[in-house]
Amino acid sequence: MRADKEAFIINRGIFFVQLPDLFMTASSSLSRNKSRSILTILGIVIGIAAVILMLSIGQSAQGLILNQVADLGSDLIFIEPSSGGDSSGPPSAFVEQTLKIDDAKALERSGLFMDVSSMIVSSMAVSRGEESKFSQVTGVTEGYLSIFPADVAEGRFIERSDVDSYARVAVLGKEIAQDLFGDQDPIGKEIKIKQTTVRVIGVLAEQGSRFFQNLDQRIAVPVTTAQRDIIGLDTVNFIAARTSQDIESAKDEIRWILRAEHDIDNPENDVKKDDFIVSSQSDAVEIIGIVGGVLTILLSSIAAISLVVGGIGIMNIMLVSVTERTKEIGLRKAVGATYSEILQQFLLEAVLLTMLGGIIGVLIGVITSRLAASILASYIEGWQSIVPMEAVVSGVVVATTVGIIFGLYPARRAAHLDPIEALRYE
Amino acid sequence: MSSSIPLIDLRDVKKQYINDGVATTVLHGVSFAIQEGEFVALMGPSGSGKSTLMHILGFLDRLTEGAYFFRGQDVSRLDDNALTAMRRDQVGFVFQAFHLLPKSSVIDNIMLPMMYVGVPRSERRKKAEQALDSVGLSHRTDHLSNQLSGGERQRVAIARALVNNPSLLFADEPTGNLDSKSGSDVLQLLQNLHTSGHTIIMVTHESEAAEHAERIIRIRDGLLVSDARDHARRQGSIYNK
Ligand SMILES: Nc1ncnc2c1ncn2[C@@H]1O[C@H](COP(=O)(O)OP(=O)(O)O)[C@@H](O)[C@H]1O
Ligand SMILES: [Mg+2]
Repeated sequence: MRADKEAFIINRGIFFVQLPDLFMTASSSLSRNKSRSILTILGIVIGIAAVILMLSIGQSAQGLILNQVADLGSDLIFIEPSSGGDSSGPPSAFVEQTLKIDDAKALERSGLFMDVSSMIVSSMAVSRGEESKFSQVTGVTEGYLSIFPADVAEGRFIERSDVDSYARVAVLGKEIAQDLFGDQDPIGKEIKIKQTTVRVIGVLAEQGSRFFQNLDQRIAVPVTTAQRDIIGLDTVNFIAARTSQDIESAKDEIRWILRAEHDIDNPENDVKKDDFIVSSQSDAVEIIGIVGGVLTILLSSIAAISLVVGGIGIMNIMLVSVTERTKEIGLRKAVGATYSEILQQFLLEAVLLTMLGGIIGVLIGVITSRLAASILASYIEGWQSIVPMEAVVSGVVVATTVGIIFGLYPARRAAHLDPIEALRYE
Repeated sequence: MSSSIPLIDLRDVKKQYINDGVATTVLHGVSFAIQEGEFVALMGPSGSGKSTLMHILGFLDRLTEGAYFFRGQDVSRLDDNALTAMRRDQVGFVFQAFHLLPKSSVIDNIMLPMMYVGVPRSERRKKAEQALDSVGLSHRTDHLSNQLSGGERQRVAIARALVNNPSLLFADEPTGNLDSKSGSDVLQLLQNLHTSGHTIIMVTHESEAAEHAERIIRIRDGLLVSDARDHARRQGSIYNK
């Protein structure tokens, strides 16, 4: 009667049940528990969205800085004080200030550089009559504008004679000029920097911001005046120079000159023995790349933690689901579902959950990144929206993998159930 | 018929459960054969081992000792996947508690076993509708199964058990949860299925239910106590011990 069913062992392969069946079964059981499904994937959604948002902001900031670095030109070299080692970074209170104006003069004398400028920077109160503002006062030389190009809107910039004569003169950024003088012409008028009275000789055209500093709020004075009369130091924070030679050999030239100036005995050219550090724009680019890499690793580990937490949540819910559906599993096994068919059904449920979490997380991450970029762009000039595509793709892939890993244990538990005991379960 | 290989051939089957190191012997050596086309009632008091026996016969459980030949082939030598394939391809089950998926429609419940047999999706609904029609519930196709009465649920369960054309239909106390009217409807349905050629093994402890079968096997405390066919019962020997 049933000769066609004689075969005892029918080799059907692992993926016998067609994917559409599995998919329908899994998705219908998920949609039956909508709010639970959504709560379950929330951890993964938030984790992935947050990482994309942070990566986007990080990469946009990095891009902005790199653009500004590029704007300054690749022939620019910075010299900063250093307490040895290979640390690098902005002037810090913990670093002994070792650079002097004479160092810049020695570089100039060598005739190897097109422009050399030494700078000292300090934030302090600036006032005109009743009007008082906090401003970044920058002691500069006449070469400053060829290092950091800007247009002079009114009057003139600081000249060599001003530096040599400790002239009490100042050049204002556009905004600080506006703040102190309103619509009046500031040229020839006097302002007070701390207790020192200086005369305004020029106003710079609008520059915007660089490295998150508003250049239009700055005040430039001769570096000599700044040292002796305003800040009270005989050092400078850094020296900048432009060269037409090969950058690396120019950097070496600078090192030899400064070692002679500082009486450093360092014939083996070991930069760790120097009390200064010489870096070019390409070094800055490299450092920014390293910072970006560290940021990415940091964010990736946060992502990994949140995905593990999310995955444990998935595992928990899947275990609850297996327990709740013990009878259903018993019935499926009784009507002929194999171990691997039950395994696949529950695994697919977990994967659908996390994949959905990944997709929603990516969408929210992209939307909030765009939103954040448009808000930041209105505050920070040149801010661009960067959505990290690799994070978008890996967000979905990783979420799916989390589903497989954390869904496996509950799925195996379901697949191992004994049909009789499962059917008897209350 | 008796000359051919029996559908089921049980030889001195024993079943022992071991829980926490304590062994409980439920079947002490049961032997009988069932031919294709029979309608057998498996009777005995509660706890006598009827369900255990049915689970072994239906490939849901394994025997501890003895032999079970299905169409002449030794079932004890099948691995788990092969046993699953036997459940899927050879038998249909009807349970006392129906075991329908409560939040699924009647038609989805009936289509479920076809998923594992690999019936193409396009054919499933038609086959399920035919099965539903054969139990007289065409008008309930898209109801949720938990909206049905007990009698209707059990008929849906029968349709589900039949949908893959099994060699053998098992029913474990199919009327146990039903009122007498629905119960006799279900029994009538089983009898009609038998008349149209199905082999049926029904576990029951109710004599009225067993009346519908053409053969009654009685067990008590895991031992077979009688095995009587229709003609013997008509001769009045049916209530012999
Ligand atoms: N998994 C099990 N472990 C231990 N004892 C069991 C198990 N299943 C059934 N039994 C015992 O086997 C005996 C027969 O059970 P069962 O076959 O369900 O009887 P019936 O269906 O005739 O009422 C009962 O005493 C029951 O407690
Ligand atoms: Mg029972």
